[in-house]
Amino acid sequence: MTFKLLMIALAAAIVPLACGVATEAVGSAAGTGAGQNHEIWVTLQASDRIAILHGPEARGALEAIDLPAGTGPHITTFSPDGKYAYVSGMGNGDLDVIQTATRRVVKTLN
Amino acid sequence: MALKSLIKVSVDEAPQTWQPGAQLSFAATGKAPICTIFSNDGQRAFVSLNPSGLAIVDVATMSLQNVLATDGFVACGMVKSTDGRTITLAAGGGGGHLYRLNTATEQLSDLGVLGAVDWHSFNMVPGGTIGFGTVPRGDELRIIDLRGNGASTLATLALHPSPGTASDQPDNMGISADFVYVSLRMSGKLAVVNFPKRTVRYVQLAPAAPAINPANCTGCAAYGVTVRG
Repeated sequence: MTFKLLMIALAAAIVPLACGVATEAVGSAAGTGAGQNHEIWVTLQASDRIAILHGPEARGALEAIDLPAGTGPHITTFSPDGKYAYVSGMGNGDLDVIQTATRRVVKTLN
Repeated sequence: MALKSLIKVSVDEAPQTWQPGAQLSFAATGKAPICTIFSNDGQRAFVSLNPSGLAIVDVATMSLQNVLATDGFVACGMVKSTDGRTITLAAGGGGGHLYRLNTATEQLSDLGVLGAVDWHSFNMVPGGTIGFGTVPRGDELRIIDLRGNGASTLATLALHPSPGTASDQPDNMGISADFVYVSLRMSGKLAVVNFPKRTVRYVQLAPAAPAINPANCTGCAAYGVTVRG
């Protein structure tokens, strides 16, 4: 089992907020993601979408992950092994957990 | 942020379990927690505060140990050295005020100010010799020399493909090898910067924003940039 700590600035249901996210394996050095494929994830806050560009020069295919309306995705942080992305929602105050392999939201903390 | 609280979430990814746990309120400080970076042993969380300051939090007890003063707001630009002994960060005061945190003594050393027209984010190469700062109202990227005891501007690169003033607004950054990826929050582009060659290519990701709130980036066409792999 892999236990990690995740810090989030608390979100509110009524007042949309900013929230920062940081992940780290307890007792180890900070991770930056260790996936085999180079990807650049960009939150498109006004569009409730995440754009994913491929390759160091971002010349590869362009993907997108659509999030629920009002999410306002702000910052993405990856788990140390790169299998999960944690996306803070400025618009709704939620924290979305995305499985990077499937590009699907597997959990929403609100 | 509005509730001025920090939450610890216990994570076990194998069974996909995420459990919110202890909270720390910053209400008494009157400041909102924004971004967090951990010490290498995971025992300390360093949390940037809005409108200023860097909080030191004991992770096990979720208790506030100290708040270090900074010259303005430190956005999510806090970067740990490869050995974990220092964290370099930049506040918005003075158009980019850089500091280095010693994670053992938990004290900040002052690296100086850069004097840009404004300031948002900071990032740095893994070796810690070169930093980068975004200047939204100046539509520029500062390349920063961090090799000495202080910080100084090595070069200024315009990230300004759109007509008008502050019409692009460079904001958040990701770094990989020779490339810095910079979101342009107004124009909805990603600037792909080859910093050794000082070349830039733009990728349009979203429609330009008609208006934004810089305080929380509401309305921003593009914002957070994170490199995976």
